[in-house]
Amino acid sequence: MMSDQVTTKLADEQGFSAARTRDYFSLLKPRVMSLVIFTAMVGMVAAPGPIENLGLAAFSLFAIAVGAGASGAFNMWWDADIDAVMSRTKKRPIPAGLIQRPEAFAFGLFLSVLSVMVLALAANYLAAGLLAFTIFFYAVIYTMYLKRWTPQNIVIGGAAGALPPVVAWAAITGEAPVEAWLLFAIIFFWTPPHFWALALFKSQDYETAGIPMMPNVKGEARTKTEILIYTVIVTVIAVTPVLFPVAGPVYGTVATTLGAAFLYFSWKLFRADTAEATDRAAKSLFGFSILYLFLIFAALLAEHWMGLHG
Amino acid sequence: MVETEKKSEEKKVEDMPVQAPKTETSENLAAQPLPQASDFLSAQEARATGESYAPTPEEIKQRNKRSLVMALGILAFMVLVYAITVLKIGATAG
Repeated sequence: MMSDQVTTKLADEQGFSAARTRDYFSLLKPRVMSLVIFTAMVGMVAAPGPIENLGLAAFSLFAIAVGAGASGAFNMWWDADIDAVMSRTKKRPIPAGLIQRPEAFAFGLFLSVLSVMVLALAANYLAAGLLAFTIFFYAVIYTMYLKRWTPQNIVIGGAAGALPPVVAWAAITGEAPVEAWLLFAIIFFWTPPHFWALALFKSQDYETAGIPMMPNVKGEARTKTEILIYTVIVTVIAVTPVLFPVAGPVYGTVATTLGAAFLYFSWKLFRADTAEATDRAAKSLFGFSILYLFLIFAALLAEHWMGLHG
Repeated sequence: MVETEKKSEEKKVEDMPVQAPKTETSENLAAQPLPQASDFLSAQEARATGESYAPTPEEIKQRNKRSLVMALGILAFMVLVYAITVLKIGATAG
């Protein structure tokens, strides 16, 4: 396997491991972890009723974050070969020769077991089971199969990134009702416009690595159309929580306003007719998509902290 | 004939004295220039020849740091499980 060739060569050049603690920490994809912590925290706060035990909730949040980190370590373990050829990822610890693949695998496995166990102890088996499924889905279904197989990779794989609020909701209430799955749906349908915008201005990278992303396989025009379709879906779904007790008018106003802006950026990308304009519009959309998800979840958090939902 | 040569070569190798690892005092080490990474055999080369491998000062420093973090991690895990247990018992009792 290509990845084995890459890391065996690196291992040959190495003596003892010179890996620092921060190299192991970067295996956990800290930026993804911070987003997971945030969305999971929203899931906890949005769940009905007050959080009865803040200490246990904090430990549950910690376990969810570590579980997300473990998925990241598995991802870097499996994708070391393609990470080495992509500008965005070539400085990651494995392609940089700081950590070897088996070490990353062992680290990911250890943290997976630990996080699921801690969540089972601190919360309940439903939450722990959902976390285990999330790790499995990201590491096996997305990383090992979908990513190199189909341009729908990030659409289906997006489920892993969308699950943390459901896990967190289950950790607090022991249930996963439709409101929790609405939060899941928002992140799930947000993922394609977000990642395809990135894939548009990093298409050369994905081409070099041989990853079948939408722009490389179906072309730029089809990608822009699908981005627009998914943006319409996510902006509509993002407003639906107001129909349930989970969200109120503050959230509704924020979600509608930001949804309109999200649509504007997608439309601008759809209408971009030169390579330069496409690049610019894709970068703007990518940047805005992060802000969009952060702000609508922050609005939900704010509503609950203001005590609008009891 | 060829076999006899091979056997005598093997015998020679067996007869070679095994080099004992040099023991160096801290004074000697301080007087010497710092070793470079290229001065050492890699771990894999060392295994192949049966020689011992001396990690570089930088590698030792990183290994010590990793060991410390691991020890703290285990301690943190113990505290975590203890705290969860206490909180759970408290919640049940309350």
